[in-house]
Amino acid sequence: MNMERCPNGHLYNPRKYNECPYCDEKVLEDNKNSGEEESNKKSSTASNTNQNGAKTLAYYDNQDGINPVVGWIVCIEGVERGKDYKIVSEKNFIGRSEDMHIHIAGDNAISRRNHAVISYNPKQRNFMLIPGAETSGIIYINEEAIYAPTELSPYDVIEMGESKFIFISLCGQHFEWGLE
Amino acid sequence: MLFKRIFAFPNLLIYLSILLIARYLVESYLNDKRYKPKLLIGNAQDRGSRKEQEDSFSTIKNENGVLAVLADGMGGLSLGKKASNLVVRTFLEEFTRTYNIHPIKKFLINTTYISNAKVLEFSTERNIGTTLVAVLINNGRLYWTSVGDSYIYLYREKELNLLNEQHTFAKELAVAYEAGEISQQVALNHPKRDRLTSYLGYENFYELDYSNSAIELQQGDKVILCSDGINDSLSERELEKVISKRAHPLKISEEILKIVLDKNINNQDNATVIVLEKT
Repeated sequence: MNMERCPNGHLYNPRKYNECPYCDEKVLEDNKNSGEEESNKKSSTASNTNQNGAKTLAYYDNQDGINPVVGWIVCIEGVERGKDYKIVSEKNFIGRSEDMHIHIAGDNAISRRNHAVISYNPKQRNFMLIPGAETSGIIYINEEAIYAPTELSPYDVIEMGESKFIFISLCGQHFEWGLE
Repeated sequence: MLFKRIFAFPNLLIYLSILLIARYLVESYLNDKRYKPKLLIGNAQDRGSRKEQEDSFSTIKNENGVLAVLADGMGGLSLGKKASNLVVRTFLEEFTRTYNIHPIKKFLINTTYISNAKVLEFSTERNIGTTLVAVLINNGRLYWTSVGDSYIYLYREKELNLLNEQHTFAKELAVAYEAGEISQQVALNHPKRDRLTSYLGYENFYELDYSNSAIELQQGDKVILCSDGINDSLSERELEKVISKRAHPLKISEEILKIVLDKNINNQDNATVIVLEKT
């Protein structure tokens, strides 16, 4: 087979491409414009929960990789009073264990793992609080017990274990991280 | 009479020398064919459903042998691409700069450390990094090095063998599970399972895999380098099926990529594959 090697060390078939398709992505896309439409369709129906092609991320990232913050909860009552916790896009698991996204140390009434989940949906731009299925403690939002996923609005007070947290949003109606 | 004249003293010498030269030429031609192992190379890449292509790859051939490098960058924006590109370029530079690579194992390890330093220098407190797999084939012997969760497979006698270990948190979870520290459920459903525990651009990266001794390649052996975008979307059996085909590596790699893309997986990660075949 006749092959060409571009200066960057990519091999390609010169009969199919005029120049290296891997150095400039536009060349590749022009060559398979039929595939382009398909991929557009794909992304519009993408579900957020699919783990299958998760982005490569490092374990040691303190700030959870490149995931930008979309909101916070701040402890207003309890052991960690005054501490803030970042909420990033999509699901944030809450628990006492260090590997939780939102790691609340010191309050033993909060389960080690998956006490609750705060989820931000970047498509509808809303926050939901989902109580953990296997925890015995009840979670209250503004003194009301919740048993099912409940939407959060800014300055809601969440009571978990023996602590209270205030919820503050960054993304939503007024702001959203751009696609880039 | 004629016979005598043709093979008279000076003529005979000329004929003999011509014959000797011809023999020498034929021999050296055959030597080339017989002893220089031929290596076919193919590659393919796609962005998947991501905004950016963060994978980089390259192959190069010179008297030191064949080097193939693949890096899967991370860090968002265009930084991931820059990190992976930097590593691939560093490998190419070191490979072309070194006149006689010896020992090869040391060259690969050293170059990995040099690349790490370069990525660190470039990153300056931004969270970027990249995985790396590199193979060097010299005289039919295969040497490799790997950091992070990209894959090197060796296909031999209809069997696919994974050569390197993936440096993800899943591995540590498996160890913790075996030691009885966590339950299987925790080990399998951990939110950070796929996170890398070692990558280039990490100050004190300590997990570095490399081939302790060279692997003698046999005829028909194929070496596959791929990023997790390929491996996560393709079962080993599917990969085995494609790779077993008798086709040029370029065709095979394009086919592997096509199968991955045809699956139409949501959130398909950047996918890159390099296939080398010894003939």
